Amino acid sequence: MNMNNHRHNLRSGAAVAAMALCVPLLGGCSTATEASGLDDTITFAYPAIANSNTWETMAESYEEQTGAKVEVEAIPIDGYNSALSTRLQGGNAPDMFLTEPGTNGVGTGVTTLGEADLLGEVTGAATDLINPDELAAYSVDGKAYGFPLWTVPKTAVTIDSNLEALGGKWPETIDEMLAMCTAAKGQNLSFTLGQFGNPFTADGQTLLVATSSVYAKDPDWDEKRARNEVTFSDTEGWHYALQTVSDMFSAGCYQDGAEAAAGEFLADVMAGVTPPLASLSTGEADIWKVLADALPAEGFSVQAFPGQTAENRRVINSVKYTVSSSAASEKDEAIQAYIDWLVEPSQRQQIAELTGGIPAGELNEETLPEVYAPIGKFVTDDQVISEPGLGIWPDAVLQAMQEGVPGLFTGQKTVDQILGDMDAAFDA
Amino acid sequence: MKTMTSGKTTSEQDEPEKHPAEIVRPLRLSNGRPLIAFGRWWWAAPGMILVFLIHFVATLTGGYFAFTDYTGIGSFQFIGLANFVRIAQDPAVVGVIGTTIFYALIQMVGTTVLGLLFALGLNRGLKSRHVLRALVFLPLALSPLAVSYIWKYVFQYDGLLNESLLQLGLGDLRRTWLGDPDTALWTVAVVILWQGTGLAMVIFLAGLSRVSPEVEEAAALDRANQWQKFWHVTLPALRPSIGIVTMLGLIFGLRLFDPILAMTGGGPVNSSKNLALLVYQEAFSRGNFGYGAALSMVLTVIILFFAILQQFITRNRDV
Repeated sequence: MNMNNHRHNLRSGAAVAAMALCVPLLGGCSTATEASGLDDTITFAYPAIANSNTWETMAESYEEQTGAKVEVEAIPIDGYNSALSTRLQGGNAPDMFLTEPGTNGVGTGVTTLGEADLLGEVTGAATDLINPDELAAYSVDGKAYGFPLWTVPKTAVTIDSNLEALGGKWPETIDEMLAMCTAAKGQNLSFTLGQFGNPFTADGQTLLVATSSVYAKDPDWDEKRARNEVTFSDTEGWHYALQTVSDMFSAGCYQDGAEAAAGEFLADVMAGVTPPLASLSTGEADIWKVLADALPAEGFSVQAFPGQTAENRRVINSVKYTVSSSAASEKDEAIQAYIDWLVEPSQRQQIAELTGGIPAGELNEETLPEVYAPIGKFVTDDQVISEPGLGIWPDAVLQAMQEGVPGLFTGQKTVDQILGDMDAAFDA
Repeated sequence: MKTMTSGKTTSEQDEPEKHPAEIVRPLRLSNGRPLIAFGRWWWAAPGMILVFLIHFVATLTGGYFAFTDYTGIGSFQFIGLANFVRIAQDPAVVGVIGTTIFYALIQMVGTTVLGLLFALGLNRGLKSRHVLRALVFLPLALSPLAVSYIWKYVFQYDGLLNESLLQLGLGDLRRTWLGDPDTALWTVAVVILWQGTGLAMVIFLAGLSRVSPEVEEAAALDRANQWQKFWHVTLPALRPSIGIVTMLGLIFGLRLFDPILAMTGGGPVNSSKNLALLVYQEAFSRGNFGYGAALSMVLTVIILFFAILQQFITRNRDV
């Protein structure tokens, strides 16, 4: 046998050996899949943040009660949108997953994904949880593609000990608030957290003011804007809202460096340090749960954000996430069974407790979690409104607000310019 | 030591001649071609096809989306030049293009000058030069995104820079570096210079190794001073290195992304945003994939223009 023949035989032998190894391995995988009954198991994906295991807990409860399995996939929140949209379009999406009402850019907006025929239709009891006023944010051509299981008010969360240091009385009007901001600075406290390096802070803060200056006076403002009967620029309430955010910055309502801050405070909170703030007022109020877990000695309350007048104060009830299923999934029965189980009142209650929110469905003052007690009056008096613009505004309107508001602090933008940009974005 | 006798080395002469049957010849087919032939051109075909599919087809497909209203999800329509018309009509894009060029010039000029200075300083003589070279080069070995987040901690309001100023009794100089349109741009510039100087230094060090000490000595004997030696001996030898460093600096600067995303997000109000970040935001955050693709084509044209310009300026590479 010469050298070439020897090498050839070695190569052939290696190839045969590799195939011999691969075939049983692949066969073993398929056999294991069949044997474990994974065909009945549905997968559920959600955007993961630290210390959150809501969906793992629900899956365990479901398996205990029904024997059916739900495989939970926690996708890091910063890559969730792109991961979900890529997998949906690639045909390998999870069977169920969390989405967001409306369009919401790329990836997780219910109507965006519904229009692309990527979501399964929601039917049955789950559709009863959708607020009829917000149907446009959950449906395409009359078919619903997502439903809420819990809601979270967008309003202020107070750190009670720091509020006590400022006299203990939460302001009811913008004027009272601006006066309190100045007083708070004298005690090395800030009235509220400003994180304008994060886009959502700018629009979140503006919309909180607009609840009283725009929507308390004209609840149908969004519908009128859609019919071009009003514009942002010619609505006094919007001028007031943007000017108020600018005034808050000038009055020192936010901590130093708020114009570029982007979540740095959370590092201190996680280290057990109480932030020198009287409140947090952008984003959803379920932040109280994160704070309470990190700072167990502190007390927290959810309060209505100060209004143009005390009577005009409103609370936004926001749906942070919706539940949807993949149109490509072939496990319709298993998905429907899990949905039917999730929408039962006891499950909604459990999810609300785990997330720090409120069970989706009819709001009731008596059943509000204790931390939400201060806004109970607003529930009773029917002063809870839907999220402004939901299902009506194009995404570009919020983007114009997000980009423009920090410019009020730096002198790069005026209120009129931002409102003009918002109108242009709406009409584009 | 080998010696030559009658055209053969002694070592060759020492070896006993092989019998013709002992000489292993490659097996050949009946037509005379070897049984196993190495180096056939089609061996590269799979790789060439992959390169074509991954680079060229993907790029051309991406280019096609520039003429559509694709949102990144679902169907789309061909809309001709509408995206480019929108770019031309958007005043914000003009500012973003200006910022893009600013970063490119800063990266190109800054890294060239600093890299050259470090290379000259650490070329010879200094005992600790190897350690210092490693320190200057080290930032290049780190993830740009990770170091940008670390720099953010330096520049944020309660960060290292402001705290240091406070400790030094210069508290009045504290400011919101990342949230001020006058400084946000420069914080990014500091980071790109910090990270880009190492590569420029290494390229210049390689170039300096070509400078003959004899020529420098000859210049010294001719009583040339340090500046004259640098200008007439060292710098001409570094022309090829300068061409490479400026080219890399220009391209890296034009397609800069990580530090801006991590530190300022392009704000406040677009003041530190460049085209690469705008492309990302439009395509992947705002669902304007078609518009983002059109912006990326504009960016490609800008890079091409400046690359050709740079090649023209530094075209004489011969020493």
